[in-house]
Amino acid sequence: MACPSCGAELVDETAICQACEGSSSANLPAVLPPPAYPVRVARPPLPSLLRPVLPIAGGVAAVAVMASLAVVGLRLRPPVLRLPRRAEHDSDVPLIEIDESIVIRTRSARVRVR
Amino acid sequence: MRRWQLIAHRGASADATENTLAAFTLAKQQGADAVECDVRLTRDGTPVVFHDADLVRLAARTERIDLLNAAEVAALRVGDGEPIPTLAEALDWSRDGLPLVIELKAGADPTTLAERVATVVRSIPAAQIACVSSFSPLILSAIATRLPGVPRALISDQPTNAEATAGAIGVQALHLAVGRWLGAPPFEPTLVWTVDDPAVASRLLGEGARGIFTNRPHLLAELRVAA
Ligand SMILES: [Zn+2]
Repeated sequence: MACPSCGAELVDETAICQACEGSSSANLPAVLPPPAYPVRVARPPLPSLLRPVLPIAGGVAAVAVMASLAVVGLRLRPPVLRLPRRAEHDSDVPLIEIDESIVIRTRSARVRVR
Repeated sequence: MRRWQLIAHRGASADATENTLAAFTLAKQQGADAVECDVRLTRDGTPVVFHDADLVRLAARTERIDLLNAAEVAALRVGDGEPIPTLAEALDWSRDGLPLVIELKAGADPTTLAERVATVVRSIPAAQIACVSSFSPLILSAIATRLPGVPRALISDQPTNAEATAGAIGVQALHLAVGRWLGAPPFEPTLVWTVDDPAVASRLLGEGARGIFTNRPHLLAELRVAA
């Protein structure tokens, strides 16, 4: 069987693909435990700044997810992301936000060896 | 708006041969913040950048990396005729390239591996290192004493005990498999591997992931440009 994500031949169909390491949901269900809570496939609301960009990528992704579901087919495997049932993201909170501490830590992690 | 960390998994490995300097350079062009690479020891103890234990997948040969010496590895070609870089060459690239996330693969004796890697790191002036990572707590502990001040990250494909293990060995980050993400970071910060789907990435970031490892940096960079 070929990896649905990258096309590499899978030696062990139950393991993460060694070529891409499970880069899409397509090749992950086989290694996942049963979902811990109901699966939601709808995308979360996006902050307005992201809306101009995501529809195209999201459309491509949706096609990919549907294609992968078709591949997985009647085995009824869950999609990769088992997300908690959250009604909505707080619209006041940007979807992509990093607090100050990690940025500082990451910058300081840029070690220069002299 | 703060930036999250976009890390190219083995370089821009969907568009170039993984773990080559060409893939690293492409990752920079595609907007990655850092490059992840895999490091193993040759038989004679040279750290080289290569993911698999053997050459089957990338060079259609059956030899194991740890049974070849450095000169033999240097003569190999992968993908479109690309050489397999040594860690020293990758670190040299990082000086004007991007910081490296250096994943140390298990297999060699942890002490020997840590010793050899530390020696190479100290030999490259002005190399940029984001962190050293490993699935192996033993390797991370061995690195801690040899490269103090270099951040370390535990890699895990298990959601359970990841936080406890990471805390116990005192690492600065957890690198968690996307299939084991349960809706919230089990450790702070948690970065998630490997995600090529922007919709999945945006969702993970919304739930607290602090970075994404991807084979396709250009796709995820679009998320960041929008932010
Ligand atoms: Zn794959």
